[in-house]
Amino acid sequence: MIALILFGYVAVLASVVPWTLTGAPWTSRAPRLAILVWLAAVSSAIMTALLAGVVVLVPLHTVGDAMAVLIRGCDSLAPPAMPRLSSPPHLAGLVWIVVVLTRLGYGCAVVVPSRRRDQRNHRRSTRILGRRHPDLDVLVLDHPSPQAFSLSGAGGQIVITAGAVRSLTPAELRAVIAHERAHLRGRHHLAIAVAAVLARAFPHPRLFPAAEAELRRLVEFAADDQAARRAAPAAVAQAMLALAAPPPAALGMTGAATAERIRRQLDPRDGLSRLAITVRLLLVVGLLLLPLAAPAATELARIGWHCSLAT
Amino acid sequence: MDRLGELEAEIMDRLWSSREPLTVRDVRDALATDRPRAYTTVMTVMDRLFHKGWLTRERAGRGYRYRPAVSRGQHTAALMEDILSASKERGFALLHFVESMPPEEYEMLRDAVLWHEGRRHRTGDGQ
Repeated sequence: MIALILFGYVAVLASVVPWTLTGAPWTSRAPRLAILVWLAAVSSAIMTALLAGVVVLVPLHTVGDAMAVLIRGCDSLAPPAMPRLSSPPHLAGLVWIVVVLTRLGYGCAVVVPSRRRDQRNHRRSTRILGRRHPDLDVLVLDHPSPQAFSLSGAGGQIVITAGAVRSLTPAELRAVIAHERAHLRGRHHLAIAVAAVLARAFPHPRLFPAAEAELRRLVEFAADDQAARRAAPAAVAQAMLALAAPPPAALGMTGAATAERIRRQLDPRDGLSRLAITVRLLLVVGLLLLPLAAPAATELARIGWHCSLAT
Repeated sequence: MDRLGELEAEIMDRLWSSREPLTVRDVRDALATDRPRAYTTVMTVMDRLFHKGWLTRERAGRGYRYRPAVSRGQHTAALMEDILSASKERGFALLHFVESMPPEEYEMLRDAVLWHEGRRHRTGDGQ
């Protein structure tokens, strides 16, 4: 049955992707491509999971009818059969879809309101407490600890502290601002939020939590690379060092990602070959289209059957 | 919305630099004259700032006199602490440039950076 194939696909995806992708060396050399692959994988998994429920619930020939209308423009079709919910497979399909959508709703409920509230409050606070830098398009907070961050929402905002302005050289400052701007332009906050929603909705299997953790790491690599184009890798590394200096009162956050980020800039490796990039882009396309192709394949073969049945 | 945001910042500036509580009219009159604001606009914004915890107020006739709830420095320190302590459960609105690390790890990385700097200069690879 089609549903079993689709469920099998999701199971394979959920186990193979984290295993092969997490920490793979090529992801460090091409972080933006890796981000694309991760997003395609999680989209594919969730779409296919829902589709599996749909094809159990709705008779396959209704799916075929829908495709016949779209592809061949048949003007009359056999009347669609209503799902017989008394039958166990159909009921299971409905329950499955409800469970998945409910979990997604839960994920959204945990992430979205808190994110929106933080966006509003941080934007208001930094705008009130910060002062516009005369030359750079950033807000400066009068705080001695060197910090920099980007806020998402309403066009985005880059904030640096007075401590950062004091301790960084002009090149390092350029690097930091370019890094934050890269986050905003690449909509990294949004990608992470999507991954976070999925990770909280489906903590098992590993696929979704792994995606969130990897995306948090990869967006930093991607932003570092953008910054290194504007201000030289050495400046990026120096800036990271300046801002990572442990404060007098240790905050207890680990900097594993920071260490790797600095090493990447000190010892940059070549990007991927064109072949390697093409293969991965094809993988992305495949991940997104394959779930749809499975039911479509059987139905397309019978499209003539659908239309002729109606005439 | 951004114009109102600028207005909030201007109003807080006025109140922080004033030594005494101010009424809505005082603040409205003190605002930059190149962009005059309607009294009701200023009143609405100040009322909202009060409800958001930025201002305290006491009755003054039929209106109020407003004061900042907390000094600018205290607010900034609180904001930074809030942002830096945001756990994974809450860190969806912003991205830090860098997270701090334990001193030993920092020392190791600093040595690595210095070593690379030295090597770059020795091989004449400066920029």
